[in-house]
Amino acid sequence: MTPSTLGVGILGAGPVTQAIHLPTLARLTDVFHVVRVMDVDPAVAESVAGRVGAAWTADVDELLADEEVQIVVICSPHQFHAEQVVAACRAGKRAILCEKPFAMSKAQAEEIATVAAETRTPIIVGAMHTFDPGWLAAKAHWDDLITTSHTIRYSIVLPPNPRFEDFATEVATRPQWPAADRNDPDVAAGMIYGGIMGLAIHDLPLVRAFCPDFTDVEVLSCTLPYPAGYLVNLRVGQKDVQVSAVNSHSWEPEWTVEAIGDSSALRIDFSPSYVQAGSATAVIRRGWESEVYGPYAYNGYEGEWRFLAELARGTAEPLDITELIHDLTFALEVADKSAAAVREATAAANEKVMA
Amino acid sequence: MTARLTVSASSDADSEGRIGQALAALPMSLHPGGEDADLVGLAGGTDWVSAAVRAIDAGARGVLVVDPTPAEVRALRGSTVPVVLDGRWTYNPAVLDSVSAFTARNDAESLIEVRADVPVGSDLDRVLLSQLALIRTAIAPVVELSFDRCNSRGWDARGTLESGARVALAAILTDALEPAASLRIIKPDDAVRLTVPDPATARPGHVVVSSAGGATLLVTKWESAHRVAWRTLHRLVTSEQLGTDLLGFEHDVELVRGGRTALSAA
Repeated sequence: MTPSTLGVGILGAGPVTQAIHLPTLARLTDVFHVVRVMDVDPAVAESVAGRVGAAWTADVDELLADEEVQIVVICSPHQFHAEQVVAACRAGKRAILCEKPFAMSKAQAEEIATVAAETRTPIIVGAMHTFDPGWLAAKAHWDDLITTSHTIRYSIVLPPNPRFEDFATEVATRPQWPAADRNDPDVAAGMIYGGIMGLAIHDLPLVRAFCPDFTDVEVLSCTLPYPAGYLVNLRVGQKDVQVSAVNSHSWEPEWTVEAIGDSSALRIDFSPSYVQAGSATAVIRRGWESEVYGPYAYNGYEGEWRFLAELARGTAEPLDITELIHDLTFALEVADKSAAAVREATAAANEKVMA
Repeated sequence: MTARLTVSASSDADSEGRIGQALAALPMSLHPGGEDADLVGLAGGTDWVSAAVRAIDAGARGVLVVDPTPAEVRALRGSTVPVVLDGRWTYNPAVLDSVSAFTARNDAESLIEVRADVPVGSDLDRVLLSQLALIRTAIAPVVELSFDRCNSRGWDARGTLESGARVALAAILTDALEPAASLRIIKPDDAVRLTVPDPATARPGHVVVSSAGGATLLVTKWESAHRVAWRTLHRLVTSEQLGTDLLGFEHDVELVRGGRTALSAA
């Protein structure tokens, strides 16, 4: 810590804070220092704060009242994000990083936009791949692919998070997920909704980037794989989109986004979350020729923190919060319609079995 | 000693199926012949069934059809002459080598993804049949099929296997990517991934079997699918066997017609 580094306060000290943000901040000690860590579990707050020599608290207001906290990062459960973003804005902080989703409804997002404008607080949402140097390099070189692409593919094969968390740090606590009966239509719908808003949401902003008519969403089908995940076929405006993820213990993690047109195509392979394994690799193909960008030395998490520092110091233009709202409403629409589709399909399958 | 059989092929078939190259790579087994050749290579255009019947009536001992279009094959059903259907991907050696890994994981908890990247303007019916043949050969036949979409850019469809495994089928028409097919089965604990290049190239397909313990790349073989198809026909003829291509093809054609009906009703 030096007087010139920016003071960080963290709301929520679960695995994302422990295995992602603290290891990332450890790479940026010339830019940031952690001032205070808050968690509803005092033991977790104290333990995690102790790793970085920070103060701890179990009280949100106490952290926000700490004048040494210049930047707030919100890693609490989703349902608290909106109110904590608003509170951080009102507390006069210099910049806010909120894990995705930054709200659970359009109304909440619009309230955030109003308060952020009033208080002139720059906000970024932790869609880390939008800050990944591989994605940014592709963006600078894909020419007219936004208009010429017709097919978008976003695919994840996700090993259990602890496999990577345990390489990144020693995690103090992990949330437990109760087993659920996936044959219950509401449970199946809940699994899909949770999958879209908890996992797919990472790169739905990237998908949206290739879908100018993103308000015109039709879910053509939705499948719930074993043991969890989603497989959704969508029409978004004129684009054919597939969004899929499967949780599997198999040793071939995959996290890719593709945009494919008649004569050019982009594929991005992202490195696993949690570990400091550098950036994505982007390949732009045009027939028998290809251009490769990356992997670069740092990943999207570090990218978002670097940008956050620029925002706090006033050397970068804040993001247009309208775009963040569009990202959110797009994700909510995909999640709502996909959940409804799988609820209906599960109920129909149950009726078929009963008959 | 290998029995050497003669081969004749129409110019269409030669051009579509690179038959000359396959023969040149099997000089001990096959040799170019005239009108009375032992084996006949045909292009898979709309009249391929009647052309096959004519060839058999004229004395052919075996027939190979390159990339066949959907057709009623009843006229060939009673024949004692083997007919090999050289679709785009099924005869790639990686497909044959992947069978045991795939079939061991074929159950109701499996998700199967199959995708074809094919050039703009490709005949979608032929691509779909090749895709169904790939699944049938590597795992098992698709028994139900419905389309979420099908347009000039490709399709997304859903199917199931007899085991209850669910299948997501996709085709993407693009000149930006190398023509190829991929097939993947994903289960809660393990997965198998197969990638197959264009049938004319001898670049290898890849099969990767992965579990929590690691991922294994199976043996890679630098042999084109066309060459394997001709080797297969040679083996069937010399061992007096018929093969199962026609039976499987008949099943897939019926399925495609049913799937298209469902699509038009949607």
